[in-house]
Amino acid sequence: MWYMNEEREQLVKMIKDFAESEIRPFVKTMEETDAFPHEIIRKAGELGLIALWFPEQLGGMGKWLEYGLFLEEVSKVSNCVGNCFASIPAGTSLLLSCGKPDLIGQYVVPTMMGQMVPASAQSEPVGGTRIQDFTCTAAIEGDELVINGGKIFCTNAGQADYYTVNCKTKAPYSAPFGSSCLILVPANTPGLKIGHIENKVGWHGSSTGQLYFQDCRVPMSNLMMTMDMDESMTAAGAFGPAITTACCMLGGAEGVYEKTLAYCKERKHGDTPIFQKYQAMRHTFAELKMEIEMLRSLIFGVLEDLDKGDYNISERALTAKVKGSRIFEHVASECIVLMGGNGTIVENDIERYYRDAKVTAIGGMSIYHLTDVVASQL
Amino acid sequence: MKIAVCLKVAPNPDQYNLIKLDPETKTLIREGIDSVISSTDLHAIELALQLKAKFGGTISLISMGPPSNAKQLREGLSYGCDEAFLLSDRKLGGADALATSYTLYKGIEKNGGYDLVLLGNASDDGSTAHVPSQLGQWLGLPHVTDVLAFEMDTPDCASVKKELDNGVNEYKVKLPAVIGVTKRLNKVRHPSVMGIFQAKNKPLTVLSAADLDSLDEKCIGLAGSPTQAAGYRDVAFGRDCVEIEGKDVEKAAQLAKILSSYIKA
Repeated sequence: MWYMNEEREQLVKMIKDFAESEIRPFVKTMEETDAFPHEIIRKAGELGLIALWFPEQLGGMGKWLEYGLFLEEVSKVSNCVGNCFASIPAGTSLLLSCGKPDLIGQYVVPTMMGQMVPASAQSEPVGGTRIQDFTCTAAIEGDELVINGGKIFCTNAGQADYYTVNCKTKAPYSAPFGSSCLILVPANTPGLKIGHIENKVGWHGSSTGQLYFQDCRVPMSNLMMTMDMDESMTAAGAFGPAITTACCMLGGAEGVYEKTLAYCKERKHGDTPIFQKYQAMRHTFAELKMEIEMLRSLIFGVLEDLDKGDYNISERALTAKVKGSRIFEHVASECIVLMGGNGTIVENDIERYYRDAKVTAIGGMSIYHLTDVVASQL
Repeated sequence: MKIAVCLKVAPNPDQYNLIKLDPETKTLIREGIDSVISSTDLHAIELALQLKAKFGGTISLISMGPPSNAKQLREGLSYGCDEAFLLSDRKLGGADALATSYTLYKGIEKNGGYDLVLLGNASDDGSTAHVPSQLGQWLGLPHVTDVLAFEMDTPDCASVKKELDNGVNEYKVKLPAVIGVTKRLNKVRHPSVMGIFQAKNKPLTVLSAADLDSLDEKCIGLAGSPTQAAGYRDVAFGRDCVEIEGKDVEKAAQLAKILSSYIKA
């Protein structure tokens, strides 16, 4: 691969070993009980895997491409666990950019070390992620912010140690406050209640649920940023989560593809492996491989640009997420068919990839919304 | 404490189904097969890291093999070892266990000796389990093989348990010593990200036969190897279905008979 070198090969080998020994044995429990992978996150933090993308001044490595390799390899085993790690930039990138040393020291550094789980609370029933329609408000009372309202589809709900919550600023307010603000709410704050945890089609183990805020008070120092935020600004901030989730889609597609290919090369009809016997199957595999390689080129090109400090990647990052979701779903769907009857059996662990692929189209922003964003920039 | 860990680079066991033998040389055809650190040697690294954490000191990796083995030595360094030595020379090629142990002995001697020499009891590929005790003999040091437990309260003496077919022997071993470890000894850690990125800057020295002091050329490579492959046969792995009929007791007896026939074969 054009982006690989000896260090990255060593890193990938270590991540493969980590995924096989620490994640693979946990997948069945996750599927059956929806257990959140706290222990896996803690171990990954200890090994420095989460720190791969964090800035060097905080003790991280500042390497997006290496973080992409991590997400890809983990997602080959479990797309759900991959997305738990992909959600970390979503939960912390805005916290990092707020630049408040106290908040960064108290929350970002432990997150980087796998000791804390973040969550980003954005969506609301009234309008998805359209901030103009939000009803969750923050009122300014002395040196406190008082939050009232609710959030839905919050990734890591009930499992996170802190939430970064996007609120409409309640009038009256004056500069420096804008019409919306982003507030850090620790999980144990009185007035924050965890609502229903959704039973999703896929990503079993990733906790998605509702949050309720009732006179939830946090000190003014927890204000991350305040702004007159419009929809396009939200989209611009989405490139990080978009490219990290795309890495997970690539890994998921590869994971199910490799497993299915190995099976079809071994499974015989008569004396001949079905891979050799049926040209239609070989062509299907070839088509899936081409889709995977196209996605890989797009994703790692974007990651390399990020490492060079070129942040003009929004359109390609969003494309990677949209196309990645489509490709992952297509690959997983075809693999079920290629496996024949065995593809439909839950114990054979192929259909899990298909169910996870369906969630990737929506989790961390709907691909329809992101397509709309790309269209708006044409 | 000065610790040496001897590493063997072997074909990846996950790819054993792809391995073929050269009918003329009777050696493995390595093309297309990944090379990895022989898995039992990783348990020796783990023990060395635990001892270094307890007593301080340095860990040197020593391996004999082609220049490409530098990659696996870098991987070994990523676990937290300090330096690596690769004994690499065409003259060393074709070595059996005896010639290998002699060459490792010369490498260890070149570095001024160690308080403890650790290595996997047997490699993933050859699996002769000869090298640890041969190395101990060359060095003139106490040596224990098949070690499944290792304790050290002071840096001059170790308590070890040796696995036997019918039990366990316990020994007190004075250092310096050579220890051949088994996979039951410990759980191997993952190298850290920082370890991987630091490994490229750690010293890795390649030593040729000429660099090893007073090397007896009759003891190295093919010339120093009394063990030669005389022949080989292919073993075909396939699946077969045998239906066993009768009462449960009869079926069990018949099954035991079939299984024991495989063992005898």
